[in-house]
Amino acid sequence: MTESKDETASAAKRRRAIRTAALLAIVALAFYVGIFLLVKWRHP
Amino acid sequence: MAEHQAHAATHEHHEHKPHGWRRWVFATNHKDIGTMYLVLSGTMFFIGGLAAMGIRAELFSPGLQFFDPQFFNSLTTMHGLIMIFGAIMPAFVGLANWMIPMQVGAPDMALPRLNNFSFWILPFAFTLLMSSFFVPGGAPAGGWTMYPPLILQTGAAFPMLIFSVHLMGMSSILGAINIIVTIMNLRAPGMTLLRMPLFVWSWLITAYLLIAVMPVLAGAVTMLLTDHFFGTTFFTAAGGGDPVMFQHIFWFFGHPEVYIMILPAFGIVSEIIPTFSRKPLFGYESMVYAVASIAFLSFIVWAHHMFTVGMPLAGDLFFMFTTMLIAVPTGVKVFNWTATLWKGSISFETPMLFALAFLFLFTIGGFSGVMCAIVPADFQYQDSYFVVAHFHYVLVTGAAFAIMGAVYYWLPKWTGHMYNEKMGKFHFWMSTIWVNVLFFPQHFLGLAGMPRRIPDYPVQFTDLNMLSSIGGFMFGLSQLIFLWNVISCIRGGEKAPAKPWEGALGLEWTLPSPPPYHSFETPPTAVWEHPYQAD
Repeated sequence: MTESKDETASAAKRRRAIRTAALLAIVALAFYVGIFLLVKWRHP
Repeated sequence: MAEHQAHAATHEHHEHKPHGWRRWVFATNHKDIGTMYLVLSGTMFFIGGLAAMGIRAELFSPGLQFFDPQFFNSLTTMHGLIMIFGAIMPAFVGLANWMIPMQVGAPDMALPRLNNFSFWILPFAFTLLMSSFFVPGGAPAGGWTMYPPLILQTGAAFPMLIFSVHLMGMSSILGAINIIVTIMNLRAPGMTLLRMPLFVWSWLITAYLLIAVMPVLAGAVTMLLTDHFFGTTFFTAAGGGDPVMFQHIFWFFGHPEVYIMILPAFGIVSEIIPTFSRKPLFGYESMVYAVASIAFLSFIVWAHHMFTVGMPLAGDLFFMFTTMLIAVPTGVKVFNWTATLWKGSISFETPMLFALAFLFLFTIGGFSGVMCAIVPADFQYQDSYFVVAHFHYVLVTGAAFAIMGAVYYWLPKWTGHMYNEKMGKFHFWMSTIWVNVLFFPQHFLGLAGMPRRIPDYPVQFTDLNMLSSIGGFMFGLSQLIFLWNVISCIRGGEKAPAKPWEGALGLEWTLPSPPPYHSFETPPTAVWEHPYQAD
């Protein structure tokens, strides 16, 4: 019983870690695309 | 502490540690990856150092002695790129890999396979970059800042430069994601954010900076690539583009990059000074807020690198004042370190000597930075050796000294052996004396009008250049003492206890030296009332 609780907690932790990583990767990608848009906007 | 040691001993048999080359190529263990980062960083430090020796040899006397001007420019460009992306940044990531899981009470980094990938990108990136010395046209020579249109004149090395910068950026972003995820998800129960060690805090903030600015650099160099090969005119005036726009984008990356190279150093110094003062860090929370403020301000000061491009006066003033504002949180930090020393029971082991030298010499770099921030004065300093002196005080006696201090501080923990203290002190004094002989005269050369990035100079600059070169050669030689001491310590020596420094606080010291392969398989169960209270 305890072990399965631990496993659930660890799976939840793993999911949370992957969610955080994915979110940060999206932010990085947004900055990459954003800089192109910025230059395009300044010099259409 | 004893509980953890016993725990580690029982688990020694269950490590499932891979052996031979597989241990390193398929490494997912934070300590192995940390070690690889540090070895890479050390290697690049010596390669970048060789380029520096070449530069100083050429500048020893006026006239051209060894290199043609094109190759000299390649040396300065590659020295900058190698030292920034190859030596300093990987050293801090290596320290983060080793120490963050141990300091927050985690078994490993949160995403170990990503960690392996982040590291193994780098050797390919640097092999690619350095092999550009052997292609037609030679290595990039337009400066590490890669300003167009000059950089677009690079020969066959151009795509190699751009691709290697992309790879370095990717490695940094993935590494930063891993660090944030580890800190946010794997802290020991009870370790709230404001109870984290300062090194962890400084890295958390640095990692956010990396995620915000490395993609901007990647975007800028991608645009350079398409300008060169695909007929776009992002930065080409002839097609309606704007080369100054590149400078704005580059420095929007470049200034936070400066803090990426110094904030973890602040974290290290904030660990070392309390340990050897045998006092808790003065003003812990204000230290955290100061790091956060510096990080925030780093996004709104970029154009102080380009006062002379002809910005509107309002722009010059805005960037001058925001830059000067940075002196406030930085002053808070210097004050707090000094207040930590005040009435402390201070001892001067090698890590402490490096931390104290950091305190004095980084502050010199900070002051010359304030001088450069003054617009009318900067019109004089711009592109002169004064700027070279300024940023080397910040990056060598700042970042590199903190890294060396950190290596001496945590080496007994990593290897299980004490390093040779006498040799460590000898290395410290040799480094500190000669680094000042190397860089201090460069202030005067700059004030007298010697421009940077030139292989030859008028005869009146000879004496100070000779002095600087002698300092450079001796500083370079001194680093061999460091190499010898580190290698000897890895190979053996006096056994290190779990806590070799009497005044050290923090979870890493509750583990045996060397720590078990997996640091905290069960999270430590300490209840924190204050930061660093883990026992």
